[in-house]
Amino acid sequence: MANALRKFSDGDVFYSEDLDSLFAWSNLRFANAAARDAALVGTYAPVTGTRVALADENQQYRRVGTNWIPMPGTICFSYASAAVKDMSYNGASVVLTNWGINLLGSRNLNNWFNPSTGYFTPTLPGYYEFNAAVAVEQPAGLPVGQRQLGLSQYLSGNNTWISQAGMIVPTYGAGQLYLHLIPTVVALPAGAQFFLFGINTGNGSVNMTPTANNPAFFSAKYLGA
Amino acid sequence: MMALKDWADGELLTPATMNELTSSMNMRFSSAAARDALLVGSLAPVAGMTVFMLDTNMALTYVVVGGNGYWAPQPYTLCFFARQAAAQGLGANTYAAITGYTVADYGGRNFGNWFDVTTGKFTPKVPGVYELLGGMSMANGPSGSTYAQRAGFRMNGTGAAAFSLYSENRQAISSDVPVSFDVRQFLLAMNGTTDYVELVANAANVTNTSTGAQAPVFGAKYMGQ
Repeated sequence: MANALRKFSDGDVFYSEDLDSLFAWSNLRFANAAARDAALVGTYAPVTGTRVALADENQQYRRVGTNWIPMPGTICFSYASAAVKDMSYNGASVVLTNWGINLLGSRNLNNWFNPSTGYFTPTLPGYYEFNAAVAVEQPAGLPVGQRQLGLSQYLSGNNTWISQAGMIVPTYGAGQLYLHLIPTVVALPAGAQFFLFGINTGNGSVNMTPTANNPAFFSAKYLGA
Repeated sequence: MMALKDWADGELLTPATMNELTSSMNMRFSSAAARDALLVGSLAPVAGMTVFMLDTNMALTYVVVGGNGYWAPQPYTLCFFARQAAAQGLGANTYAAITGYTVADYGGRNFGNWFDVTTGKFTPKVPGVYELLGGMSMANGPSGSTYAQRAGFRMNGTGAAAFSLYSENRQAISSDVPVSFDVRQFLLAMNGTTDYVELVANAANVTNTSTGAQAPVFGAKYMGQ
């Protein structure tokens, strides 16, 4: 990258590297990532703090270390699922899979979210905010008990609950239950991690299903490095 | 500060022109002290100037509000996200501030140390709009009782300037398991000097907040002017 910033005074002589510096720190715009990577070499090789805009994505990025970081607030994904999920487990979390409906059209930032497995595997360090909701159907006659919705983190093969939201089912009658995750922000260090979205039931052998009219939702956005 | 101009053939660069160009660039600094040392005189900050801080990997934009200048983070930047570190006793009907947080579980972000982890007060020092995030979780009361759990955001304490928004969760207790619910997210304009916000709660038939993955959480994002 070009030389450091300097403040100019009368009598100063301008050098070519001064202009290099100004160009290097200007509002760089490229047609796409390939054009960016072709141009930013040698004198203009990116360093931490370099900012570019990509026309094909209408998105700005900052260079931090070896990564191009999107702007805070960038949506990573937002999916819904109407697939029925068997919840007949005793207190064990069940990961929701087959997220068949992309609510953003084709958008899925860097394909970090695998809608088939329900795994979210971002590779950029930084802060991520998750939102999730699920509607489950409770047949009549089931025992009163606790139903939990949670977000779990798989790190080095260990499954750890990050956050859980719970509900006590107060009656024996049939009906739909609506759970949504409490707002959850996760700091992701460098390296691959999975964020999964699961449900468990804390009482008895309960069969609960996301319903066609009230599908489950799962989304994430990036809040910066 | 000069305005942008349309250059003609044969024009000469001057120190003022070079400083104008420099002030419009994507400047980067190792620290606030380095930034403040350089940006004086003809390079003094003006509204809209953007810098990148290498010590925090954050871009800041200079905003002027009520005649005062501030270095503001980008919209959607996470200010903090914290989890209560230990259980706290709760009383009925009277809202109490949730205190004793840790930000360590979420990457340690506490921008400008605006959030006091001991008192639970968030006092941002840049005027603007903030989005508050909250989740409340309480240990259950005696089986068979019905009660209300309440939580909310409270601004500026309980005096004449106070403003509150509460959420309520009614439960019929069936077993001794924790129950969580989200506190309504909302946007709030804060003056950047004295305004502060706390997460507050009360409940009948409940003795404590929960801990671990179901501990109360509190966070905020800067959303711009």
